[in-house]
Amino acid sequence: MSDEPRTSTTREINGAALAGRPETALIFHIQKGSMQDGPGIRTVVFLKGCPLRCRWCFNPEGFRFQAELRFCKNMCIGAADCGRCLDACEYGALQKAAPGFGSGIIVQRQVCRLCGACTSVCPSQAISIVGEAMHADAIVDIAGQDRDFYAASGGGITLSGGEPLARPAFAAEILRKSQERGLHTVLATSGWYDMDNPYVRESLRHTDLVLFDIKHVDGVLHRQFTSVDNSRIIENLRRLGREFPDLPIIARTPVVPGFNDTHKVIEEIALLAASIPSVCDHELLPCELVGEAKYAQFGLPHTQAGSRSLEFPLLEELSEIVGNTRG
Amino acid sequence: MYRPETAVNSPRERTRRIAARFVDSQPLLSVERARLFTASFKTTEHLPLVLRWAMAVAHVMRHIDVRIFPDELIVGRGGPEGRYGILYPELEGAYFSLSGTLLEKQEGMPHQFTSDDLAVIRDELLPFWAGRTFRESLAYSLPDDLRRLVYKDGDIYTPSMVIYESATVRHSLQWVLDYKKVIERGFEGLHAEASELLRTLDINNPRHNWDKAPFYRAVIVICEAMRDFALRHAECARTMAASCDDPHRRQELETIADICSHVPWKPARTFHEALQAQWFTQLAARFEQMHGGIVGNGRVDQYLYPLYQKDREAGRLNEAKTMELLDCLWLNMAQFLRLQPTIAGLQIYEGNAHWEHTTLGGVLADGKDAVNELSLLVLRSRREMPLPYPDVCVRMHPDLPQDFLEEVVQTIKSGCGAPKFLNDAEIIPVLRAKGIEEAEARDYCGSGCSEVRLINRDTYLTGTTWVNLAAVLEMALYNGHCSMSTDKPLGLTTGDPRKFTSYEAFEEAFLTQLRYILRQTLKQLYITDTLRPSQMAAPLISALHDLCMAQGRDISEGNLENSLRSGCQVGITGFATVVDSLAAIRYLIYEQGLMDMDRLLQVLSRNFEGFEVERHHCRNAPKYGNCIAAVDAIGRKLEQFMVEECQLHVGYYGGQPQIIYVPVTSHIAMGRVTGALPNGRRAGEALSAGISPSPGAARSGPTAVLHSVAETKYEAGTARAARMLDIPVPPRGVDGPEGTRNLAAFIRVWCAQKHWHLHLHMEDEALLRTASNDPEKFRFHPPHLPGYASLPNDLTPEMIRSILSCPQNFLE
Repeated sequence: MSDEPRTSTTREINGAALAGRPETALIFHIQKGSMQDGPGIRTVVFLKGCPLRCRWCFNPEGFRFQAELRFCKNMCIGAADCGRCLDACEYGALQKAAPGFGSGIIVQRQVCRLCGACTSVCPSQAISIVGEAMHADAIVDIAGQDRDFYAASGGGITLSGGEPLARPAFAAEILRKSQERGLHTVLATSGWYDMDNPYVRESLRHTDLVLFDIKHVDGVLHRQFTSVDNSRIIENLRRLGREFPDLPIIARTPVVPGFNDTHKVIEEIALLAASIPSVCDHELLPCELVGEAKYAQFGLPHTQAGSRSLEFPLLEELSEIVGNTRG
Repeated sequence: MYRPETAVNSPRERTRRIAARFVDSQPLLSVERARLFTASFKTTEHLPLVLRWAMAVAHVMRHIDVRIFPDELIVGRGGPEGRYGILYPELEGAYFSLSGTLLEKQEGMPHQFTSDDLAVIRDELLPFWAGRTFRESLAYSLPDDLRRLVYKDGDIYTPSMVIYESATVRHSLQWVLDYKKVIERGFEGLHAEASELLRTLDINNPRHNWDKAPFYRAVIVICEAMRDFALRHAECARTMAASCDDPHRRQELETIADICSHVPWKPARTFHEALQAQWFTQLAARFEQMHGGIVGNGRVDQYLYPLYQKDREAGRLNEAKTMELLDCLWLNMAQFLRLQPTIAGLQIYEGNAHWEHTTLGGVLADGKDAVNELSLLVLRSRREMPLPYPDVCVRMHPDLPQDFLEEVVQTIKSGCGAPKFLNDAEIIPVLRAKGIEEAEARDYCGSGCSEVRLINRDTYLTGTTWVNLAAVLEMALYNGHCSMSTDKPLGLTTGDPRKFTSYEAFEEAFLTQLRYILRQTLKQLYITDTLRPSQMAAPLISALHDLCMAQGRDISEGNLENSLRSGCQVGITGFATVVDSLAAIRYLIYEQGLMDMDRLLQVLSRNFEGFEVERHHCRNAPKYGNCIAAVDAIGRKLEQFMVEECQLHVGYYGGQPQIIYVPVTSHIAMGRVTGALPNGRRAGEALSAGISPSPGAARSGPTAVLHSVAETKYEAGTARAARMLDIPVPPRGVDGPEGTRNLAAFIRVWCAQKHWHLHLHMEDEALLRTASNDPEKFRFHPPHLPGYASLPNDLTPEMIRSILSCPQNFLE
């Protein structure tokens, strides 16, 4: 069960990551002072881009690997009183709508080149580009500002997304540098990654705790609701338990009405999680429709499609099942 | 769904019954104290002031209506049944000589008068007090230029809101009585001490000569009045017991009669007696004077502990009884409201705000943790109290036990609005720097809103003067003019800012205006200090003060030997508003060139109307509270400038003035009359409160707020004190035991960073509904959900539901 790189090739790649030119990745949000993403008070770094498309996702801005234009209608001053973006855009991506049509600005995403000309003239920040290319060092510097809070609370940095391991070399760099500076590291993952990728392995070596999503045990339903099959995820969970036996895992299950909110499904998920010795806890997270407005802001067609918020009494019932399963 | 506690909900039957009787009653501004006080005062003009005051208070206590209401266990009140306030005609009573002010219900005023009361005001109070009140005395002592800054258009009952004197809407800044003395020695003990000091006055001893006789006589008068006041209650209880059909209540009344025949004259023998003695003492202090925040409860878990412990050991007291007695004490305070007769007082104490500041925790004289069993019970009683009383504060220090801190956090999470925190790690060193010994500094208690007192060392009592920092900024923008000025400028002529070529030039103009306004403020405070000894006396609080008793001087004389060298309290209002405005000016005009000064002035003069683009530029400029070094540096420079300016001066009492950030509600009142500002704030909106960031400006979460606030503190300065900090907490973000521990850790970092004060307020439905109508003030929300990336402007109804909804184990 070695977590060492397997071949000399990977060793070389590893070396390049350690010594080579700094990489950047797109970050869509850095949340300081979070008390919900791993132990203690934490800084959560959201990496942009995710291979999954979970229907209930409340961070749709994390889907794509490219920067995106965000347009908040209700922050917009409007074409009549402002309209600076219309003049700024050289590609005709922003158009004036017919009178009486909301803010009066229409975004034509298919012609937008993300040049940022509109965002720099937008006084109200109604138009912004979400996804900032950042160096790992800059991110770790920001996370380091709250060192006092981590020390007092047992907190640290949490890498989230999107899927952070979709950019394994970058994730590895952040996690390694964070650990070098004495920060506790948490990796929040969907489980959809390449377990054999040397950078993934390096990431895991520099991770103190994994928050691992298990959404469903049924492959068909899983594909239907998240766009990917779950066999790789389950396999990765098992391998994580085998190949990194000392790395603690907290299993997390978003409970989505109509998808996995039955006693039976939750019990099956709980049994799977309980079968991995390094899974030290299993949390249920209720589905919340707090991201609805975001979909329209990014020009996405549906909003947490068909999902409903989960009511607490049911959540408590299901949590009890998990508790009983885990003993 | 998370819900803060609603009214008249208590696990204790008696508490519910008493509270239900008064919660909805229309507050009455009682004239009884005024009538009796004045009747005595009229007849004593030949006597020294301190003795007159004592005799007047004694007259009140011997003649005011004494009644005991059903269910009460701690008896005594200062007004009619229900919620009441007390009128103090000596402060601003001449106001009623203005036409239209003598109405049963005056528009905009929260209280009402009965027609009998109005007759008393008209026929008994006004003829005596018109021309003698403190307001008039101060107003006519101020030089013209200063008077214009304080009062609007020469009307001494309308504050200008440039600088706001509060010295004449109350007798004193804020105060806490030495209840321990009353409990341990009784007024009999103080009476004996004063008598002995009076007996030993010596015409050949300059330090103990006959000039002190009036003071010691006054103390004797007050002590005897305390005894008689209690005896009147004993008699009332006994009479009521005799005709009481309910055997249970009869027994209670007999107990009350026994207690009141003993305390506060004799030392208290039981916990119940200690509470009764405490209440009689603070009630009498209310007859004597009105203090800012009314009068504090001090370190209740310390001075009440010995008798609590004794009663518990003797089996006389159990937990339930303790809680019931504490409730009865708090309910007495809850029925009292700070009712200000004039708009001047009303604006600064909106909502009739009063704080019986109740201090828990902290350290003992030897530096060890002071938390005990009673601290926990007081905390619990506050959590279970159906009304927001008393104002509980926890003295935080690095060794505060984790289990107690978690109890405190759970109390905050219950949504009851308390407790708040004061920080030993900051306050004790600040007191040490002012020359106080370590052991004594460790015994400070909270007072007023977020200030502190050493109750046998402090003597400074002149009410804070608040400075409208935003109006000062306006003076720099409009060459001496501000929203409050009419034709003549209220500030200095610092030049047309359109001609300034750099940010530094603008900042220089601003600081020049600020220096002028601070000096005018200090002058006003100095003048007030000099008037106090001839205008007021406080024989009761002086009797309980070591220095006053030893030196034979009333505390209102102020400059006592060995007193804490402190002076004028300069309250800065709108700190973040102005830091943000300065940052916006630098960023928009001198760095980014998004507009020029001419444009900015035009936009502000139109209150942004028709200039939505510019308003957004202003709003989106960098803001204080986000750990942005360049902005925090502006705040730091501003604080240092003000503290250093104060350090150049010595007050009338020989101490340094102090910069404090304790707005009470001045930020609302001052904001109401201040024009649009470069930070994007519209005219009339509230200014920022205390040292907290502007509403809606903290976009980087609560940890960044703490870093920024710490960054602006001028640690090396000595002319500084309270800094009020308010941080909103989304309930969902701190749910469960994990949330409790994290919030506790947050508080520990706050302590280690050496902040002064912290109020964590739980967001509730009302707040979030208001916010959703004004989304700009709520554009950035603290994190509350696992995995959720909160982009600006996401307060949807679903989001509100999510923030407020909590699982069942929320409080744990």
